[in-house]
Amino acid sequence: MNSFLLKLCWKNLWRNKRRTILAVNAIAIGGGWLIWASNYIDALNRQFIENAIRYMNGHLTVAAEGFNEYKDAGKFIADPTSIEDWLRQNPKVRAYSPKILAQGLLSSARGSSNIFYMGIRPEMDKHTTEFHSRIVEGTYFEGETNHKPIVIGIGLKERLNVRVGSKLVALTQGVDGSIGNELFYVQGVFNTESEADKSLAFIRLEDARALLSLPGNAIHQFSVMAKDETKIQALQAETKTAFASHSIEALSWMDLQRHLMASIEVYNAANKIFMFIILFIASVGIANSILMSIMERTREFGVMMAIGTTKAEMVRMVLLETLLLAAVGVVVGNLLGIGITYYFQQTGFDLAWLTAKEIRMNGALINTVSYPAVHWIHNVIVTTAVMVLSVLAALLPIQHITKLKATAALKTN
Amino acid sequence: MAIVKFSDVSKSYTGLETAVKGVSFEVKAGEFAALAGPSGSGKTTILNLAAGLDTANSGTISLCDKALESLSRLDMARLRRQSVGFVFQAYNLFPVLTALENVMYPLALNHIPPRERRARAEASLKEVGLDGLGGRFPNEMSGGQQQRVAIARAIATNPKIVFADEPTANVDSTTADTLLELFQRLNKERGITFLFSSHDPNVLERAGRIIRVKDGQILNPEKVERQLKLVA
Repeated sequence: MNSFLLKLCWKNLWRNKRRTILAVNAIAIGGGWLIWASNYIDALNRQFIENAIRYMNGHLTVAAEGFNEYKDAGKFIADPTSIEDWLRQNPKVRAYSPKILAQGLLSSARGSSNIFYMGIRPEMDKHTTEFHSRIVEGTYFEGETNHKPIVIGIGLKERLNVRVGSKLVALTQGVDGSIGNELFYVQGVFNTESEADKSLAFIRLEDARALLSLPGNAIHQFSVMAKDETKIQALQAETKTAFASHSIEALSWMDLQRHLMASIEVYNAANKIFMFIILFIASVGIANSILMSIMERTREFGVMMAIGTTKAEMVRMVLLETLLLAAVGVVVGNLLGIGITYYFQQTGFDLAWLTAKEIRMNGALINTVSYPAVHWIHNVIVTTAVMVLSVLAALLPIQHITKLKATAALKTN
Repeated sequence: MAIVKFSDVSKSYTGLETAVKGVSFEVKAGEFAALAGPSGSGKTTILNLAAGLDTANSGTISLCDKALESLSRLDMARLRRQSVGFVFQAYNLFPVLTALENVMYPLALNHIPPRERRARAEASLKEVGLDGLGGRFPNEMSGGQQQRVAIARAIATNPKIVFADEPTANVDSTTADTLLELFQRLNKERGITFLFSSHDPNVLERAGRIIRVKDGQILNPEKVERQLKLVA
């Protein structure tokens, strides 16, 4: 009976082509849109995350315990040698960069600004952040110089009204309570189109140490890039275990970017609600199509019962018709979703035509062009949701069938 | 052996007059019987009760030696698909299926394997004179041809009895004659029991026995036979 039933259901499905095509379109457009939208949101989220990783803390931050909460310069790793050796030898680590962070005043002859100083080893930092690739004037700590170099953001350059080669005075409070001040010369200007351009300046690690009067070879933190992004948590756990007795904290970018993670969760939740609404509308379309089809065939169901078809067999038939309708829609929807995603994976999808304003996330300007990729999990989720909802949508027609009496059905026209 | 047996059967519908009152009769194996009577006399109700499509309020009905009131819905459906054939006034073929597929439907219900199913459906179509027309859809056939497909569908499972509700009402008299000849041939050659419901004189003329129904009751059979003789 199964192959015969399948054939009969398939033929019944196309009895009213226009109605079936409308229902298939509702599922296909809804499903296709959801697959594409989910892939796009993933791409946006990925962009936000990469932004946070590339311009902020890397995958993992290893710092003195409590440092990250208030960026308290007095909480430093006095002897980072053992940690650095461990990071250098760890096969899970792709790159790391020691850093010293300080808050202070940066002044030129024409103005001053409250900023964050970031002491780095330029050659190592190139492997953990992208600032070196955003230099628009001068250089990123290149060449020998007799002066102390400083690389500032373009916003800071404009505010202090300086240019490459200009003198700047850095002023901050040392960890020993002394007032540290040093003379720097602008060596480079970066432009990341983010808040960092107005509030961040890079200096060499040893200059930062001198400015803050940090002892020995002390630093505040290591920014670490993992070889495999999926193993960040494993690396974090490993680091914690290895230095359990060192009063250090190992925080992943997710720990440090809680607001970003919360935003992503909100986007994902909104997407789920949106998904439910679209799928609900599609399932109403399925229910309507099947119910109309069943009502029109009441007499045929009467004949089926007279011939000896059981109610269970008729219910199976209605369910199969519904699933076939949903399957056709979902197959077209999957092709549509994959096709659109693949197209924009090649060309990029520019959100700029939808919004006149630039998009910022936590102060960072987000590139409006995204390159979504096909994530099969969305196809699986949408397909499963459509099929489950179509079963629910079949309940109403099934109820009609189960209440049907052969004699009454045979009397209908 | 009685294929259908009614013992003091009554049926009434809510808010309506009693449709069938204290009906008792038998249809024996191999009979070619007709329920005769005017519209609304209760013929179709009796046919529906006999086939287990409806349930009686009182009395007992047996079909193929099975007491219908003791059968579950599933067993009733099984009994119908294995032992009963149906021919309706309006043909009632499935419009999306070809003639051959329509005949194959009850065979599929009986889980006959596809190859045998096809062979038996083709044989049934041949038997009703529609050899080579199996690929046509109902809307591509005349009324008479559609009724032949319905007959082929009814006999494909080798039923013990075929219930035919006004089978000639929708066709012209020539076609009706041809259909009745077919019914008679199937009755004689294959021994299939037929129970018609009809007020068509053609059907009544050919019926081996007439069970006359009036106001939901069976009239005295002897009286009916006498009346028929007088008419003749």
